[in-house]
Amino acid sequence: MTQTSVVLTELPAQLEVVGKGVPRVDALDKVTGKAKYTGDFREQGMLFAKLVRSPHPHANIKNIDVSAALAYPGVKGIVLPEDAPDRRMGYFATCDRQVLPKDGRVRYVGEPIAVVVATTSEIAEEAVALVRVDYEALPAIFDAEEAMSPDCPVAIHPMKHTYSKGSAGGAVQAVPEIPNAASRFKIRKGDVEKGFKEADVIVENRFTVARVGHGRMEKYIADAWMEADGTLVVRRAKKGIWRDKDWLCQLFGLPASKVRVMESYIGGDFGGKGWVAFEGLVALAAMKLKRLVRLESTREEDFHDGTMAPGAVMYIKDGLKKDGTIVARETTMILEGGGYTGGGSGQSALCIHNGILACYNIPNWKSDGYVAYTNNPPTGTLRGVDAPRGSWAAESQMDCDAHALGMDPLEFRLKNVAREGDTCALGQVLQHISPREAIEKAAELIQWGAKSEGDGDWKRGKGLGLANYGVAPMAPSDVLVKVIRDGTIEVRHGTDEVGQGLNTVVAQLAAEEFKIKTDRVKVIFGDTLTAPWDYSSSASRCTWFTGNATVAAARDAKQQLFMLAGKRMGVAAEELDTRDGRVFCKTAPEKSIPFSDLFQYESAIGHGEILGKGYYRYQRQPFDPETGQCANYYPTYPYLAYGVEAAVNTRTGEVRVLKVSAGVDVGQPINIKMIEGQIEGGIVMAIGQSLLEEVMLKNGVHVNANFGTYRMPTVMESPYAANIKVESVGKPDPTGLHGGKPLGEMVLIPFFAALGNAIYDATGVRMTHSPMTRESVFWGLRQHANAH
Amino acid sequence: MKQLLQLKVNGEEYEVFAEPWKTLVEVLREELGITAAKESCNTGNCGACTVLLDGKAVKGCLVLASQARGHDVMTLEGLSNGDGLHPIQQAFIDHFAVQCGFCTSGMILSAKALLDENKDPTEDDVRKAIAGNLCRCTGYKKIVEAILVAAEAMKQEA
Ligand code: FES
Ligand code: FES
Repeated sequence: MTQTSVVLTELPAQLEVVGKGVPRVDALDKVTGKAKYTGDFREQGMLFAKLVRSPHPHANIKNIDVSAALAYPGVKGIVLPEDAPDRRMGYFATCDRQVLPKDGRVRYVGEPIAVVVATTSEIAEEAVALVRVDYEALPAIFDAEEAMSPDCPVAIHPMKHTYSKGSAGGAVQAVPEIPNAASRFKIRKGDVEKGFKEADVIVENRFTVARVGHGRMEKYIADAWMEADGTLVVRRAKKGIWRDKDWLCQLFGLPASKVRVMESYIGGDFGGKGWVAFEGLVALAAMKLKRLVRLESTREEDFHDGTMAPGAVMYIKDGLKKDGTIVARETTMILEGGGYTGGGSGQSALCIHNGILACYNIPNWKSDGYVAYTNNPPTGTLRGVDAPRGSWAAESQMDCDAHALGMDPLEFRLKNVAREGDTCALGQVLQHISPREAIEKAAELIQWGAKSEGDGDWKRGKGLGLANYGVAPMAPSDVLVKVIRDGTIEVRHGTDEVGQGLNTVVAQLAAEEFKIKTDRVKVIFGDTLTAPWDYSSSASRCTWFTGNATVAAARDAKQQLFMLAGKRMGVAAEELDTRDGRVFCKTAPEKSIPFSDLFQYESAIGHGEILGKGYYRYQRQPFDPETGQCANYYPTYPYLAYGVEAAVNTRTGEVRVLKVSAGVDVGQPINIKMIEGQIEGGIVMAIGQSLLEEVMLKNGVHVNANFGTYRMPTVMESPYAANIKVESVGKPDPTGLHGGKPLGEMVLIPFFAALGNAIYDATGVRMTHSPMTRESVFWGLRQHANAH
Repeated sequence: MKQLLQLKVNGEEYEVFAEPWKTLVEVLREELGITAAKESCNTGNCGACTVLLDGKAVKGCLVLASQARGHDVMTLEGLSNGDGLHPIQQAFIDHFAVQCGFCTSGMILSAKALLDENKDPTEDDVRKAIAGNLCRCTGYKKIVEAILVAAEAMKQEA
């Protein structure tokens, strides 16, 4: 059996299933209530865990007394830091987090210290209150810029120079000279000083953005148990079965054959379901007690453990020529990472640039991104991994630039927009890109240039935003494709159906190869015992990686099928093709044979089924950490532009998003309906994060960790259905899968600034902090009125 | 102390032992294994736990199981009898109103409560009917469109 990695060049016109809005393969399960999520399983006799959590933002643990809790009826055991491994975990950049604080220090309010296990969750919760912990409180710090200052008196991770890097940490550097800096990323392209000297106009601004949460509907939940042979099994509402398996092996020093990780359908992810800390806790409990243990968050705990997106402070300086060209850009971006950044935000020093670095042709570029430790709850990855933050600053800046030059914001963008063959900020040559078409489409659909009338106190305005997204080429994908004798094609993959529609994408790809309908494809996933290796549904990589591997596996299976059929039919394998569960001769289509006959004929000599294997890898060229330059850092660059029309109440500061348009370059879309769905969902999430949502912390304590006060948009805050318009403008990317490029995380990125720009257009008020709450817009309007 | 409780769910009578403080959604999920209704916020803000009580949409996390005694409880599992799908279910499939699916049960039941009352809803009626159901994935557009299509289909059927 050969393994192949393919780049596909089939013309879109020949495609029958790919590129069509075929129904989701999981929809029937989900509309009938038959779809199972982790919390829907419940076993007799399972135990329930609750966590003892730190009430201090920064403290040394002096003593933990569990005697009263252990004596409480129904309590089965308590896991303490001494039971936990020393190893620090982290993905991407920084390994800074222990499963339990074995180093004797807590770094945020809510940090788990011990796991109490009991026969019911109520008993476990009552027993948590009986655990006595003595602390020595330490001074704490909550502001990122204060934490980064050289004379900050608090060092949150004094041993950080000993921490190792995560799996994808190459691009992000440790910063030993700054005590509270978790990581740094640098871009140096051209000569920024020279660029500023050549400039006619310099525009400088400072933008800030609040912490936000994922708000995915399904909370964390995980079960763990030990099998008779000593295998640790963890079934959880998280993504990345193989990544978690690796982590659990490393964490507990277990051999690969002794860890099994499972998942079901996942009730939303948005980047918050990758981090292993939660599984580590429940696995520890199961290993210590040798029982099936369930750990389930409350909604409040879900905020604590949820690897929220960090807040950020961003300084941006552009040098412009009078004719409208940008000659230089310099940025400094500081993310407030919280007590630990191992949940992914260590990488944010790079990722905060990821929505802006390939939008415009800017010859001289200098950026420094930092993630700062503070004593707030930890942060991590959230849809776009902080690219929405960088874009909030940079695309707001684009409008400031345009206004400084007296240019129209669309005209200014089109003057600078990246073209085929330009190099992005990382030095990579851009190919098969359509950012111009994206922004033009967004502008056209929002009727850019046609001033919309206000009404009384309500003033209307329009704004634009453009983003690119680099798809992270992390870890390879393996896929298995089976041909079953009834003509069904079975695809086994090792990533996740978090709601994004991956199962439908792989079903479409396999169906296209065998020229069948997607209902003849069965997708199997979610168990390391049965699914092949993959990384996880992260960084918008699945369509590209898992997708390519699916096609390779299908072709491998087809090859074997044709060998088998060829022998039977007396025709060379190269002469054969397949459609609707039959193999036929290309030159004489009437010569055909159903799959079922093949297997009957051949079973006597050992063919029960056919198993095709495929994999996909991406080879990244060397990367210079001092300049951030790399010839092929990302495999491809999709683009998305939003146009927003908003109404602002000049008396109250209330903002309503009336219309949103999207021009999207994902090359040749694999399923246009799912692309629309992702974008529409992204728009409404972005409406929430730019107008309503803010994780509020007071001295490190959550103020609004529930859905009552962490307000997410309902349908009432969303535009009317006809007022959201999405159009695909990309041209097929010949290096991509059926000419397609991925989309997933890009959908938030350009919205924030597009809305801020619309508010400016309506009122003349430049918002510099997101979310643009009613209160902040109100005060902005006041200041503006006083100044004019 | 657990108490004996009689419940009628999807037309079937059940007897369960449950603590008196258990909510309806907890008893459905934990005691009866009827799991289509989800728990997400437990504060009445998200609607994932929505079930029908005598045809009215209620939040299963805000109703004690004991309060459902003597009423007809309907969950998503009870919506389609046998093979065929209810027009709302069909419209949710056809119009891509489902992504992760965690809100879907609540959305469909809120829609059913609306469409049983109002055969000819406007977009605003639909928005009001699902205003208590959060969806973090879809942006609501395709859900609203699906419910309007389902209303049309139900009219045709009637
Ligand atoms: S779980 Fe009942 S409304 Fe959220
Ligand atoms: S489909 Fe995921 S919450 Fe609605």
